[in-house]
Amino acid sequence: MVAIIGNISLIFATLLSFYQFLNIRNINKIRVLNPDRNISLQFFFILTAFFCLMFAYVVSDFSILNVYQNSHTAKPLLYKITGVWGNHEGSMLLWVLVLVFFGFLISRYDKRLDLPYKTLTLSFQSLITFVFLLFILLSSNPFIVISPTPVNGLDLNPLLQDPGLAFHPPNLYIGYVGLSIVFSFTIARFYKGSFDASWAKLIKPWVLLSWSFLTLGISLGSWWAYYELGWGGFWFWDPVENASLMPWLCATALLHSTLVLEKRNTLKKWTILLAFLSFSFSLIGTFLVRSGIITSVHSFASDPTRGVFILMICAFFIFSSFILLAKKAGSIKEEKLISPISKEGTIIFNNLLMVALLLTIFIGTIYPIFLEIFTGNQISVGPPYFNLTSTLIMGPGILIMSFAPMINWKKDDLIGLLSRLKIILFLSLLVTFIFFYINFKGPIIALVGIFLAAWLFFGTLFNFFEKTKYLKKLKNLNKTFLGMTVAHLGVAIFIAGITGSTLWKVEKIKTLKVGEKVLLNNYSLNFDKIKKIRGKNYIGHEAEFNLYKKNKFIKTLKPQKRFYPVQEFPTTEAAIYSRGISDIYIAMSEPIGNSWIFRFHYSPLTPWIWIGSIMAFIGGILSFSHRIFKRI
Amino acid sequence: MRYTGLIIITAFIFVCLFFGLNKEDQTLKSAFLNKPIPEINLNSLKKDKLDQSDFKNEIILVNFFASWCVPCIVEHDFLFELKKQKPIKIYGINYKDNIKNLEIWLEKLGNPYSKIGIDKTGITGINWGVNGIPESFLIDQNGIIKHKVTGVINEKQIKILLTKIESLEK
Repeated sequence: MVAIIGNISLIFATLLSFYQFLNIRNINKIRVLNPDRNISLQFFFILTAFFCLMFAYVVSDFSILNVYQNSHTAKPLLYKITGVWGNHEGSMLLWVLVLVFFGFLISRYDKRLDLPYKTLTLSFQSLITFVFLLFILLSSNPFIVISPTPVNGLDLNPLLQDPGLAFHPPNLYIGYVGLSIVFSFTIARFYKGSFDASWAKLIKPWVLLSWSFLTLGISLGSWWAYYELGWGGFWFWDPVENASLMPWLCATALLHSTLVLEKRNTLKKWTILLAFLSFSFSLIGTFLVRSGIITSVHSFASDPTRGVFILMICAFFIFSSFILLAKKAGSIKEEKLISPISKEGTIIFNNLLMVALLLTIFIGTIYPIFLEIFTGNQISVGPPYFNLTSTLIMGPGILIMSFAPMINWKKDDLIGLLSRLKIILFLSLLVTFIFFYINFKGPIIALVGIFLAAWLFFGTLFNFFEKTKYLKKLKNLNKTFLGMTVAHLGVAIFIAGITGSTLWKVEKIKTLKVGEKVLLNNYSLNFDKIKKIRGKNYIGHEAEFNLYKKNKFIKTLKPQKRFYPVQEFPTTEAAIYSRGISDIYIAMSEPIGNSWIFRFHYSPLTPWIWIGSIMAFIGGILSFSHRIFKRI
Repeated sequence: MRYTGLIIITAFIFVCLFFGLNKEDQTLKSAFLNKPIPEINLNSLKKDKLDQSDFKNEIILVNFFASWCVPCIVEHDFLFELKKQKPIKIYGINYKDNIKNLEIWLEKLGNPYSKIGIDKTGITGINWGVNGIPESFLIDQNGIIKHKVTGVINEKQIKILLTKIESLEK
């Protein structure tokens, strides 16, 4: 029954989206089914399908293949719900749900649009919906029924049985798919209206919203990997991670280039290209993750038609948008003259760096595929390549980011700027020196990282004080400006976080018996107990460590090693003690006789990675809320 | 057109990605084809061994499967079909499975295998370069891998297998 309702809803939504796309032929005509109503109905049907699937998971309806393959009656309720998007089919359904949701938001809440332009935008959005719904119906239908109904399911991959699954994918998808509406806005602009400041104003809040959620989604994913996977790291340059970073970089560039377009009426073609590229990289990211072209999906032989299908979707949207731009580029007029010492100058520099980094990561990610085709060798491009290139490219960017917001539009005077930078330079060097004094063991590059973070932090603060006349003008503070300040401060804290976490990390791997202890920096960890544990769908062991600093008891840490019998899969639940400026991290491994292998980390500043990311998210949302509320 | 370069590069990337998608078959074939079988030394379901000595003087199909693998259920009927058309020996290698589930599975669906090796840890799977199951290998009279099927053995694959077997028998 659920499967039937789900399937019918999907089919209705497909038909509706196609009907809406047909509207582009005559956008001024009043129709029985107007675009607003059509989009609302699409949203309703997709939501119905989504809830049908969720219902099937909650009641463990194993007559549905997707539920059978990814669920189990013993699975806790939370993971039954989140398990809906813990697999390919459900995940694609969530993708389309977010896609339609953005159309719905535009049609209901963005009152800045005139009807023809709105109709056109929603029609292109519906085209994307239509294509993805076809993909779901033809190759990834979550409502396939199996007969006879199995007694129990195969359970969800235990790594995914974590609260992280509840938050990470939905947020990431809001970011990824939110870029689709920017894409639709841009395509529609080629047929109605022109690429001027008003267009930049239109897309800006949506870019901000997508960017903020991408930031949040990526950092949640990284946080999840940090404490669940038990590897002690937060970023592994895995193709799937890169797939989410690429649209983020592109959206960051776009975010800044729309500023130039808004204020100076130039960089139009570049902004259009970035708007296209942002969504293209969302699509490419979806392709890389979903086709299994790079990471081999282990348990089931993946269906090759799926990969080809998504690749065709990517090719269709990317080529048609590029060709459209190529054809119409001649008619787009730009204002000329940009002085390098000006805000737009720094933004162009930011854009170039972002795109350079984007391409570097893109090449690193797909290089193994190319090499395999041409030489047959299988290689993997690892962290050494990515760490080196990203540091080299981002370094100069951070240097400029610190003072870019202080510079005026059009032209600024270099001498005046430099005199203001003196104090920032002094403060940053002071902080670097303090760090050097406290902890001089690390490599020199760590000090460079700290300096850059401090430089950005003080530069941003300085600008904030200056623009608010030393906090006297806080009342009518522009939220966009506040948002930018918070986000840039977040980036500074984030840089300090990754510097400390990667370069000052102390790692120890020890085999311990109960009663033994290990020393880590100024801390001592006493292995006091080991006991068997039993959860709803797993069994395992839990160790107890008492953490002392200079003989003063601080906390008991309980790392676990779990085993999920249905999937025959072990997981590591790391125990982390976080004090805001550093983490003590214990991951438990296999037993040897009556002793156990543990991995200990002392990672200074690691929590700052997530504090900084959350600040960037808040900054983006502040700016978004200002822009969207101002005009409704 | 001003953006020709961009479009050409994009096209090139897409062509590569497309070939990248279809790479699996070719590379795996080239890595194991015409080489002696990799190491194998497994306990079998009937409490004896499945090892190198089982691959002598006859054509054998080795099939990696598991009771948790849904495509394997589909494949199962085709294994019987293959045996009907050509009575060759099929060895099953039970990959990362639970013995109880396996026994129930075989009872329900029937047992086409002459011998079943238990690869509980998945190490044999790694040695044989198995990426996902089901996967099957056709071995000749001298213990050399002559053909590999990635994914389900279906009607089309049976035809290919039959021609391969015929050519080996000559």
